[in-house]
Amino acid sequence: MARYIAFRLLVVVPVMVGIMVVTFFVTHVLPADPAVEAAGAYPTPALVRAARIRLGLNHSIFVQLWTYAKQVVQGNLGSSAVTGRSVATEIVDRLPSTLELITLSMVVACTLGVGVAIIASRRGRGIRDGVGKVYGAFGASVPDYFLALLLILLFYTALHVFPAPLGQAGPTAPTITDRSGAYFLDAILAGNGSAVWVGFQHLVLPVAALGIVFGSPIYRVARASIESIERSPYIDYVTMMGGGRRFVLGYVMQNALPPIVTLTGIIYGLLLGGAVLVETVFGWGGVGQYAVQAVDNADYYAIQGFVLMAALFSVLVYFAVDLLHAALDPRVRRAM
Amino acid sequence: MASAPGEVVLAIDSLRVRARRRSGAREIVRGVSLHVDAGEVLGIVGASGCGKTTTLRAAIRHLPAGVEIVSGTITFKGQDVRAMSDERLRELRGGQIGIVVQNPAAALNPVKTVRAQMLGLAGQHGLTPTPADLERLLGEVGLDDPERVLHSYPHELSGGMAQRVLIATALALHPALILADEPTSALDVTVQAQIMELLRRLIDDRGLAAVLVTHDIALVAQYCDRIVVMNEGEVVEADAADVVIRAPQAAYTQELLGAAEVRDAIGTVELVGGADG
Amino acid sequence: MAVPTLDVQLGPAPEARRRTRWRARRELLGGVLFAAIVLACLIGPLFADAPNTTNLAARLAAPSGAHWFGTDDIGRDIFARVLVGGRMDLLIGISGALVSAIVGCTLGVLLGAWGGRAGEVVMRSLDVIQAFPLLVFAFALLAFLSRSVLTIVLAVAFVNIPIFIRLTRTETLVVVQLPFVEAARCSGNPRWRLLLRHVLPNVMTSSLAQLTTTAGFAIILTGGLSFLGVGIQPPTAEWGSMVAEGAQYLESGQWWTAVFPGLAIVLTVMSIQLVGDRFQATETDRG
Repeated sequence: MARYIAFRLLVVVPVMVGIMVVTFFVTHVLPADPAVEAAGAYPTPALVRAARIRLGLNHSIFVQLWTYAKQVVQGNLGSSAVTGRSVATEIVDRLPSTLELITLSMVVACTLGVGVAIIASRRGRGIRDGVGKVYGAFGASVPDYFLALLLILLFYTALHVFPAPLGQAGPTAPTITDRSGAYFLDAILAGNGSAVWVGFQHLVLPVAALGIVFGSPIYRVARASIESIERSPYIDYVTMMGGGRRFVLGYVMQNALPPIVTLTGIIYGLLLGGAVLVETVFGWGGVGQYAVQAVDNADYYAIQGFVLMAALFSVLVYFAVDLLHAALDPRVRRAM
Repeated sequence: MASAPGEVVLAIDSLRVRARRRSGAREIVRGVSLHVDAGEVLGIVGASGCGKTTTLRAAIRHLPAGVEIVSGTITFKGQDVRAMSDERLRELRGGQIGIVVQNPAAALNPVKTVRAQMLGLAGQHGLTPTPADLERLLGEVGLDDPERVLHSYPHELSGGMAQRVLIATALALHPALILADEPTSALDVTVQAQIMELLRRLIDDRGLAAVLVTHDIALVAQYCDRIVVMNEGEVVEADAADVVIRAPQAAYTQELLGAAEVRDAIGTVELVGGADG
Repeated sequence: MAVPTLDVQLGPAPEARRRTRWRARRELLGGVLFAAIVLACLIGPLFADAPNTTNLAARLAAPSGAHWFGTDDIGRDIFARVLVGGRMDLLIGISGALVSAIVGCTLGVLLGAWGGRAGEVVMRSLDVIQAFPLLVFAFALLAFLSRSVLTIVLAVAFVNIPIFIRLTRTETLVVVQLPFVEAARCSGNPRWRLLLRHVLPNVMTSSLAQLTTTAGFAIILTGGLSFLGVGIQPPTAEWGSMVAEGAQYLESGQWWTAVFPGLAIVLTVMSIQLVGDRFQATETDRG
């Protein structure tokens, strides 16, 4: 088991290197010229030349790649062509707020998806089954940004239950020490009750939008998996031997979880950048928005920094997924 | 709990079971009556699809969707099974009527150890056996290394070992009746005899009642006290084992026994509850 | 409750029967709805107000008899714009899905039949690509290319190709190993003929189901891209960009600017999905 973990961690390195190289080349063959962008509002040829040298673009692409690789290993992801600040710093600034958002959203999505699947898979209950089906179709048809807008319309504009979509805390929020960049988390760490409440209120709608939409594919997979396991001989046996409903459900769930876990991991990895639309609607200031702005500005280092970080995140998530699979199923452990 | 000797443990009277299909309903069990007494093994034999498994499952009201009992009475130790509440039925299953199935390895939850499963089921019936109790039981069913088996996962067990685990699990719940549905069909020939011998011995030692359902007439001939022969949902013959084997009345029974090899094999085998016992 | 199995020949239980009837009704509903939407978008604009006529006097008017869906911030009739915008979304969604299906299926079949080890490598790289949020991917593509309907269709098609490759490659791998294919090959049939006659029909069904899912996703993706500013540019009408433009008025209560186009997206995608159910193998696939 320890060998397996060590092996998986080792594989991370070549994967990351591969991604870095590919991204590097892809961003450098794109038509936009970062030197032009970096040269400011009125890019005269002289300014552009100066920008080229400043950004190191006058060297061959392989030299650039090598320089970059060396930097990355030291933790330096370069400087943003737009702001001049360290890309690593900029990303780390925005990462916690996005992580906070997508992690909570995934918790909601899983709870909703698996919960509805369990309820809907009881046979003979027409209404519950129907609700399940509607939810399954729902998530595939409703865009997350639209649901976000609808929620704002209903709960802010009409009912005034939740605050305006003005970022993580809004303009009137109590100030707290910025330890992680995620307001809600920081509020908890600071023990500031009113700040926690403000942070919470601002989290509800975006988390609901993402959670409801992404809970739908989880529901579909959970439903299919549960119904498949329910037909197994061992479920049949344990029912015939007097297993109670909850007991049998426990048996079913442990066997039904693997594909659900896999899908959850995939969605979680995707959401790092994929939450950008909801982030935009709520003015969240997350990492997805940063990536979008970087692409808009042809900010090479920022783009690459984001891709590397998103890839690392996905790789770590998949690693965790594999560990979960091993924890759930002894046959997987044996194969390791 | 074991029953008083001679007590009628399970009685089925005029059972009718219907299966609903797209083209209409079809009766798959048509007026079947049988009974099992304490200390005896009843064999139900017939070809695939004759309704013997359905009858068995009807006894614990565990039928698939679309299959339902139409009429008839099912009595376990005098209690009406059809009228039982869901909770009472749950206690009955396993706690008083144990099950042994055809594919033992598939009947075990692949992600839990033998120990966890046995303890789990025992807990569902309010029993708290210690691991030592379980090891002792696993030893009784003929497993060589009970401690290792107890901590094994199902995929680490052979077919024969898994069947022994199932038998031990059934016994751990102290039932009065064992229902065995083709318990050896999926096992190697050499293991088959061992398992059947084991079952018969355990049943005798504990004074249990048992129903053995199989398509193999040699099996019922060798291990059952009484035999019920079923064909297409009906009982065509029911009598003491040696009577059914040696002097079959029904044409269908004679067909089943028809193969000369079978008759020869049976002729050389000692019948349970035969002319001597 | 668990469903025990018997060695008895049973038809589908009455519950299963009821479900099939419901399901047929749902699919029919989807088909009718989809046809109605397409028809409305194609023919409707001929009868409605011109979608680009501005009327500042009637800006941000609530839905009424004159303007069924209200007007937007420069007085254009939203109902007309929704109908016209539908043409754009349907065009992009369907053609994008078709392109990605054609390219993806072809590549998938080729990989499955002749890929071998290289096929595995390609699949692993596809894994990496698919792990990347499609939205950002499409956004990046469009940010660097000129923004026209064609490039949007291509971008949308591009991000969906891996799914079709994966699907058809798996199917192809299974089919080429079947005994009868082996036999046909031994008797001298060239592989391409085998592929055409045996693999293609099998692959078609699952690809068709995936096609409808992809078309729905393509429409949502297009909307998302417009939201980020790289989709269809104003003043051309398109549901996603209408939602984006209308979003700013939600807080002040002029909900119709964003809600109607959004609902159009939801209804259209849902009806496409229902039509796609026709090709799904089993009930539980869709939940």
